[in-house]
Amino acid sequence: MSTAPLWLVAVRNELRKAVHRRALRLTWAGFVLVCALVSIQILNAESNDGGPLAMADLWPSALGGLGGLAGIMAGVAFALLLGSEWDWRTGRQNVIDGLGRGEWFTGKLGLLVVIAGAFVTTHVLTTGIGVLVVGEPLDGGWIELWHVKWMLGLLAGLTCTLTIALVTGLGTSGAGAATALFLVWIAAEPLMSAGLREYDDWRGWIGEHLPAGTFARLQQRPTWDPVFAERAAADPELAARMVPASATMLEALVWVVILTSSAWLLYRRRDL
Amino acid sequence: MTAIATIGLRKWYRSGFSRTRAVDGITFRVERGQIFGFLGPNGSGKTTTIGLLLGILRPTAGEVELLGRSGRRGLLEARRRTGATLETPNFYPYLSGERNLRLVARVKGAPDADVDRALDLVGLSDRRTDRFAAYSLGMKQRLALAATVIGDPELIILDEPANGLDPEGMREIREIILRLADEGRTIFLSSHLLAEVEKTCTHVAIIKKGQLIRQGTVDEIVETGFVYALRADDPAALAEAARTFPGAREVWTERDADADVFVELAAREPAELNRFLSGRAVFVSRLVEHRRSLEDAFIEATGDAAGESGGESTGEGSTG
Ligand SMILES: Nc1ncnc2c1ncn2[C@@H]1O[C@H](COP(=O)(O)OP(=O)(O)OP(=O)(O)O)[C@@H](O)[C@H]1O
Ligand SMILES: [Mg+2]
Repeated sequence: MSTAPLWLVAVRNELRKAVHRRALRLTWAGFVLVCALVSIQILNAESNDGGPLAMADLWPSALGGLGGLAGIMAGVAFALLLGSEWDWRTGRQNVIDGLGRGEWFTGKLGLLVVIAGAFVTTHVLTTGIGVLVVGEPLDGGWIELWHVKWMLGLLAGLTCTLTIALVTGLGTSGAGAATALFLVWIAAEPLMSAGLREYDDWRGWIGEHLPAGTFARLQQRPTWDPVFAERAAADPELAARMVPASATMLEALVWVVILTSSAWLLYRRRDL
Repeated sequence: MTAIATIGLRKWYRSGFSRTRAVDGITFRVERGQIFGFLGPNGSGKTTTIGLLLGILRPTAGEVELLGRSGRRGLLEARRRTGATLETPNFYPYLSGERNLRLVARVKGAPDADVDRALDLVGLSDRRTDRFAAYSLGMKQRLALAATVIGDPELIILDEPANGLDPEGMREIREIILRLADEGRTIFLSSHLLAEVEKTCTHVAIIKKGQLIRQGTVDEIVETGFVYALRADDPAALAEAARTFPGAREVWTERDADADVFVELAAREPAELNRFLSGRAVFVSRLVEHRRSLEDAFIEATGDAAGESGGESTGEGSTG
């Protein structure tokens, strides 16, 4: 007899299921491929003066090379995994078998964090190969502190992005609908944001702080590169447009709380 | 001890401006040790009722008690001592039957040996490593039954366990159910296979359009009063003579495999009837107490068993 708490059983079961899931394997394999392409680009990089390349200068290409692709691919994978529970009616069977709704939900949150971790690790390791092969530890540095912070930013941003898929997965009733809605959200939010930013009042403020945009900022260079912070300190106009890392983190946290609670409320009260 | 009790259980589905009264105030009790058949035509609310028992549907009104427990926490705890299927076998198609059962065993806190035993019970041991998606319908049904016995449950709830099975498969399922009941478990099963239910169940309830219309032991439901089936060389003379018997309430003829004439008496006195008939020079070659089949009782109770009866739908708009 196992004595593990049920929420932990739920998380473990989610991981056991996920590793066998072709939708996840395929998206992950596609992601490895994309990361490898970035890595190859780095391998082909040459310095302006033909001299050796500094590792510290290469990390930004590795970490920023994917744009928003990690969020889209991991999000699609997660939405598919979540949505299928409705298609196969396994989500209801899990509860029939004795998982509480809270424990089931916790299992999915565990899966969310692990998928985010796996994608970021894949990203850093695969693109990092290019950096390590081509780059030289000039000035004694393999890597700088802000690169590490950026990596954590990637992890935080991706985890946050997946909470959007959590909402679409638990708010709809199938893998197709969950995935489609997630993609629509990701595609439509920037348009909505641009529209809102036309206004100078509170609407403009909201336009700048929508969830996918906030989560994306966590994964982008300007948030973590000290050069940008320095420039902003000297240039009030730039400072007005730049959101400091700490503020972005706080914003993201607020959105995660809102999105996760919405997902829970959608799930908690629905007929399975 | 009560295994299942409901009080005024109700579930109305709303879609747009109409609502469906899928379950409309159902109260019943299943005592421990019973094999309880839950009967009803298509769309009468069987699956919805079970969904309410299992806590995956939110009731519009009413209460559920499972294994003596109620309330959110209590029902959750009781569900872990219950094995159940709902509507279709619900498993992960890309995992093997065995892996699917292991996931269930972990949730139930049951040892892995339970998985082997369950697979053995339903005869799926040699196909245990095949993906669920590759199973035939019968195998899927058997896997669902196997999942319900994991964790040594006190109560087993089955929604149409024999759905889509061939006669051989049905008999196997029936035998397994009887074996599980012999081990002291309470069984609650929904079905519209009346012959199966008659062979398996001790108690039945009949639901129609979301409401319970009959419940009792199988004997009570098929009980007809004192009806006897008779046969003689000259059926017309037999009927005529029987009509003059003082204790006869009703006499009718019917094409039946082993009777020409049916006689309903006011009391259990078939010997009197026989003596009376032979006094009138009518000699019966056969006289047996007539039992209806459960099917007859069901059709009589539900009226239109063959048609989709459907829940009551109204266009009144949402209720407050
Ligand atoms: N999710 C739903 N939304 C709306 N109406 C529903 C829903 N599920 C069931 N119903 C309706 O509720 C009624 C009862 O359905 P239910 O599935 O409980 O019947 P059943 O007795 O199990 O039928 P069957 O023998 O065909 O399995 C039907 O009229 C059905 O259309
Ligand atoms: Mg049904």
